[in-house]
Amino acid sequence: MSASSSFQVDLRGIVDLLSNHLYTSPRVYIRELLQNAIDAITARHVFEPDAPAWVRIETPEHTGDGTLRVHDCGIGLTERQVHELLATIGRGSKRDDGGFARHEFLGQFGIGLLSCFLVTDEVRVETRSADGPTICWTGYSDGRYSVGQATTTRSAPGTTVTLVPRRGSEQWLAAPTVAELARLYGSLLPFEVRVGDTTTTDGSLPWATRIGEPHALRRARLIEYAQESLGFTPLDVIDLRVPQAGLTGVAFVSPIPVSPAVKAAHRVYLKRMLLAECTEGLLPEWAFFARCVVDTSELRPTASREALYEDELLETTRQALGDQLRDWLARLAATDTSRLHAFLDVHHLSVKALALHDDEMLRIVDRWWPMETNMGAMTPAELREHHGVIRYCATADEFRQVAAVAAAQGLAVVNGGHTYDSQILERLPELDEQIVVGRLDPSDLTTSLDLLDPGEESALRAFVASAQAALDGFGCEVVVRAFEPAGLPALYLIDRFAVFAQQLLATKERVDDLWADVLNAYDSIGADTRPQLILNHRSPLIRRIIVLPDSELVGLSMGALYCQALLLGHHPLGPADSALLDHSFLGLLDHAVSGKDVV
Amino acid sequence: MKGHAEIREMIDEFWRMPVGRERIAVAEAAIRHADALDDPDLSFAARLAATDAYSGPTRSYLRDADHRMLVAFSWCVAEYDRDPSRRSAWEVYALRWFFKNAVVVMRDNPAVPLDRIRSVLDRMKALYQANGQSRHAVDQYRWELELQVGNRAEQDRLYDAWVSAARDENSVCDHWDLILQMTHLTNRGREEEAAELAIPALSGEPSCTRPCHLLGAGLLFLARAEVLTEAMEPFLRTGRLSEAAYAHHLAYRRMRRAHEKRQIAESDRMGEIALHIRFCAITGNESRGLDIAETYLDALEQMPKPEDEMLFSAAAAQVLRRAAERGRTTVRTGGRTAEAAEMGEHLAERATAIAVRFDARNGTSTQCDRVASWLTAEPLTDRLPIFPPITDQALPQTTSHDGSPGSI
Repeated sequence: MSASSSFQVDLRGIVDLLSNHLYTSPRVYIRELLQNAIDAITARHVFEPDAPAWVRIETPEHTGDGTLRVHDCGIGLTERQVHELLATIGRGSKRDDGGFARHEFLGQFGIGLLSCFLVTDEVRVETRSADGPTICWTGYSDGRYSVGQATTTRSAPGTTVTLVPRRGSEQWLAAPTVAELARLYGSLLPFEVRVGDTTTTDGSLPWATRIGEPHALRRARLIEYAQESLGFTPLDVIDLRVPQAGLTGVAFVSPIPVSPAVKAAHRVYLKRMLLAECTEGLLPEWAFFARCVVDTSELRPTASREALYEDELLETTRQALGDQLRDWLARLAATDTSRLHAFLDVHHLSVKALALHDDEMLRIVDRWWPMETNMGAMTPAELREHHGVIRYCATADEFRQVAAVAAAQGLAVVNGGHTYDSQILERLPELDEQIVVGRLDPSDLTTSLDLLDPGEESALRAFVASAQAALDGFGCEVVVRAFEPAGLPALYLIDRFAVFAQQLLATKERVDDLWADVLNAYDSIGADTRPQLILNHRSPLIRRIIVLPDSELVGLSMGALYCQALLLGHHPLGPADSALLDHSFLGLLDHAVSGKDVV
Repeated sequence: MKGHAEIREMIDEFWRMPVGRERIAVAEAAIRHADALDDPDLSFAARLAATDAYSGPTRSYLRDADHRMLVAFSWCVAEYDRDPSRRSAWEVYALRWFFKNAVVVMRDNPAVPLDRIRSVLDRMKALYQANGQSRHAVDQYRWELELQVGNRAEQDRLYDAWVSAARDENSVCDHWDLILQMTHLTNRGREEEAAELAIPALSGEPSCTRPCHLLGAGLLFLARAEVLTEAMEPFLRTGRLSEAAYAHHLAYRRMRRAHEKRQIAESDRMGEIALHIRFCAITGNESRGLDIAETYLDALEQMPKPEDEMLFSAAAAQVLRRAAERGRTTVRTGGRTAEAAEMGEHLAERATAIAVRFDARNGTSTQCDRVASWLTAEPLTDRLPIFPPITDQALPQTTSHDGSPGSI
């Protein structure tokens, strides 16, 4: 007997939905058929633990009539269940807003079958459940279907799904493609899958410990696995386990630096079927040095079953995995410092990002990560040991300004301009109250330079006034101090408040009244600060300039010193500065070659 | 001395960097070097970068970030006005986007006169119109200003205008848009509609069709947590008690975690924390509210936004006063113990002082009224238990949640 009728829902619409909005490619049909088969076998084993377990796919080369057939020895469907299934498809699959995977066999089976219509217009299902009759169901993509008892009886319980190829989709059913897809999605499946004569399953998870296998051998086997399937030789292999998510697997440490901006690509298997090769969001953001291969039974996929659904469990899992990576790092620090150094060389950015909120990582950075200082590379711990207080400049520019002179003063300063370094240094006191960390603004350096004694100071007043006058148009303050090295005549220091003050002034002149009013509503912190040109009283050259009788020569000298100090500190020269440089240089040159006496 | 190519490279590097304080140094250096070359196009590019660097949650590590942002941005606007044809389409898009940041920052600062903000909004509208953009963004930001002012007629008019306007690349992302809708509806007593909007957030992360941020520079946005925070009171007032409790539990926990992991500074989102404290206070969970207040008291000194500071102070003051009445007389803050009653009074004054400044700027009494009502908040229910669901299946059963067919 057979009954013909139509689905209550236009199947073409659903197929369109599946292919254009849900699945990224028709190739998922193999995954869906495999999943149906696996689920059927699993369901059968609940009642018959000793039942056989295999899946066989016959491609057109084997079937001879151009069709693709997927056979499983699973639980099969009764006639009533087939009708229920049709009703399920007719109603559309019941999915929650979030697209949770259903644990009900029927619902999944329906979706699995529908995905076949990505590559075919006709699907036949021949199925037998336990001692029931063999039922045959044929569905067409235009919505027609027929169902009834089959003409021939299956010898054993199970299901065969037959796909009649659609013109233009034959390549999806060809043996090499099907075998490749079956291996891609199902290489880790627990039951044997064969495509023709080729077995596409490996039978066990790569990271499963084999009885009697030495640790070193397992590690070598996993490294080889990474080389073959992920394409790189890892620095290390880390075992992962999150029981709450039913998750096991491994993380491979990348041998080359990985940009934090690159999306991490982890290979995730869901109940031993490949979910995606490039899943994001499995690890915390700081763990970008690791690529994982994991199998999970409890994490949820999105509706398309090609990514992980972002829910509480995933977040808990992510944290747990992060903890395991972190523990591995801590163990390295304690037991294998050469590997730690190799790791830090490549992945210091990860560790530093982590150190921002993790004390254990902070300790590692403190002990093992050399930072740039004006006295060579030193770890924060070494710096503390030799110099006590840790001083740092917040930006590379500021560091460049002060580095040489600070060093000459015996002051150790860290270049905090490298990513995270400033923040890490600021956090160190949280590890130990005794640690003192302070930011050094360029203007702070001035205060550490020696003042002249009052007698010398007053003698210089006239000179300083004329020097200041020569540089008035350049907005900086002339100051005299005594510092090392004596060979450095002048130092130009500008801290960020002075920079901002300059910009505020310049901007107010450019913008209209509306914006000027807005800007004026804000208090300017340090609006009075000006950059400083610090003349070095220990410099023989400066001493000679101080006593020059010729005020024009003093002016030219000040201009030259100012520009030289700018250049030395890697400050940008504006057009006015460049003009001053020309004027001073040529003016001094003129004096030098004119034969006049230069005291 | 750096040349054009080097400075361009600095600016390119800036846009590749993750959001954080390191970006600021790069942008500031780029401005200095670009200005020295006297190349307005390069200076413009550097200042666009700086505007982005100063935007967002920078207050916790840079006191005058807002001022610096406006300096950089106004320079860009002046340069654009001087010769609009020199700017690329992307630069104009960035300018449109940053207008929004500028308006927010100005609104948040009671020292900026109201008419100046309205004038800037007019300029923003002119720019958007000249570029043929949707009115959604402009009207939404105007609406937000009028919300603070308390001009109800304007609030309603502007809300109707933006809620139905087309969203485009200048618009905030979907869930922030949702939050703003809920804010309006709650403010105007339409709690049922507000609650309905938030129901999907109970069961999962809202998906977004547009990015939350400009130009790839990701800011941490606790989408679901923020929606649920806004939803707590509407849920409560429409009788959805278990939804309200669940929303509070989930959202607070998410935010607390983000703060503990220093993904965002504690002084960032104090306004949301204030809502949680208030929720606890009005659901008979005063002790819990006090615990939360205690956790965040120190962050008050880390330069939160004035409105956040105001709300947090008001909410904390209320629970502190209650606690003092009920015998919990001390509170831990700044590593020492303080008298709860005294601290409560101090915070109440602090909240009121800020409200006074806003109201003086706005010419209304909206913020003082708001603070006064927060300070005297009474519980709406008997003690509402706040507990985590045992499994996800224990999600509250809500009336309008259905698995409609065809929703594959």
